[in-house]
Amino acid sequence: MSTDNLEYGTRTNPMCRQNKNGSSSKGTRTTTIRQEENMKKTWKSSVLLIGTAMLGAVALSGTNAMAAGEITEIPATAVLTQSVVESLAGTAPKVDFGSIDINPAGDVITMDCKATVGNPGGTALVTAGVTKGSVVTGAECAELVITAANNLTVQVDYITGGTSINLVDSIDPVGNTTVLVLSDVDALSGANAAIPLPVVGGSPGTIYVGGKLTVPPGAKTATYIGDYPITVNYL
Amino acid sequence: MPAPRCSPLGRLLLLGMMQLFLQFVTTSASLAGVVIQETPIAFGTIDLHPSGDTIVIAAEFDPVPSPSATRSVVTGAHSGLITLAASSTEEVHVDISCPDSVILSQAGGAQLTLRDIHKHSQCNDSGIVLLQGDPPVRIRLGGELVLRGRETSGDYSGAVPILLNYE
Repeated sequence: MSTDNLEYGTRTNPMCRQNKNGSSSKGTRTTTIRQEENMKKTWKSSVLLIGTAMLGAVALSGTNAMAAGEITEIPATAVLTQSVVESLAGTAPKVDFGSIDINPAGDVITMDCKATVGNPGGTALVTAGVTKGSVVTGAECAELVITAANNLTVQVDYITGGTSINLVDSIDPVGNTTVLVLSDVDALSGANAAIPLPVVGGSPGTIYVGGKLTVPPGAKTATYIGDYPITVNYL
Repeated sequence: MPAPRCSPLGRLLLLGMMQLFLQFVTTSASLAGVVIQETPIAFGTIDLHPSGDTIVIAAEFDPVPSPSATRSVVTGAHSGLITLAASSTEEVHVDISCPDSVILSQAGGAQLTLRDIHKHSQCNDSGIVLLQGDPPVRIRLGGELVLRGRETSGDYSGAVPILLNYE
C-alpha cells in the first residue's frame, strides 16, 4: 500500500481529509495501511450519515405528504315527498248494486264500467244489466280517484289473489246462509290489466269499478256486504 | 492512531447537505392547497313516483346535466362543488378520494343511501396539479339515490367525506 492509496482515499472523501503522517519506513507503511482503514471507516461513516439523512428526509417528506391530507365533508341533502293520493269518491264510495227486487229464481246483475280505449278509466254506470227480469235501482260503480303532482300510469289488479268474493248478510252472516258472488270485476272496471289509465300530473284520474253479482234462487232479503283487496300499480 | 476527523470545510459541506435535506422536508410541509368554496350536493325536492325511481346527479360530466329522474319530479337539485387553489408558489399535487356511498338520515330515523358518489363525481385518485396564479380547480360531486317508492317522506341529510391528499 502506498501514499497514492492514501491520497486516493483523501480525494474520494472530500469532506474529511486524512492527516498525513510519516511515509518512508515499514512502520510508516503499516501506519499508512491503518490510515487507509480509518479512511474507509470515515468514508463509510460519511456515507452512512448521508444515507441516514437522505432516508430521514425521504421518510419525513412522506410523512409530511400524508400529514398534508385533509378531509372535507360536503353536505348532501334530499327532501322526499309523495304527492299521490288515492281516494274513493261518488255518491256511494263503494261498488254499489243498489236495491235489487230479485227474481225468486235468482239472477245475474251486471254493472259494466269497463275500460275502453277512449275511456281507460272506465265509464260511469248507466243501467245495471239483469238476465231474469229483476229490477235494480240505485246501482253505482265505485269511483277510485288518483291525484298526483307528476304524470302517472295506473293499472289496477282487482280482487287481488282471486277472481271472486262472497257477499254475506251484514246483520246475520251465520244464520243467513245465502251468499252472493261478486266476480268479473277486472273485466267490468277501468284501468284494468288490458287498458291502463294515464294520469296527468295535477289532474285527477277517475277509475270506475264494476262487477257481476250472482244471486242464487231463494236468496233472503238482506243487505249483503263484502270487501276485497285491489292493487294499484303505478307504471 | 486517532480517528480521522472532518476538516472545517468538510463539516461545512456536511451541514450544507443536511440543511438542504431539511429545507426539502420543510418545503414539502409547506406545499398545500386551499379549499376556497364548498357547495352541498342537493337532490332538492323529489316528488317520488309510487313505484320508485333512481335520481341521478351525473357530476362526472362538465357541464353537469340537470339531475335526472325517470318518473319522479325533481326540483331544486344541483351537484356539489369543491373549489381548490394553490396556497404556495410551489406546484401542488392533490389526490382527491371520494367514498362510494354515504347514508342520508331523516329525523325520524329513516335512511337513504347515496350511491355511486365516486362514479358520478370528478374525484381523481391519480390527482390534479395546483399552481399559484392558475384559475381555481373545481371538483364537482354527484351520486344517485335509488328509491323503491315506499320511503318515508321528509328531509334527509348526510355528509360526504372527501379526502384531499396534498403531495
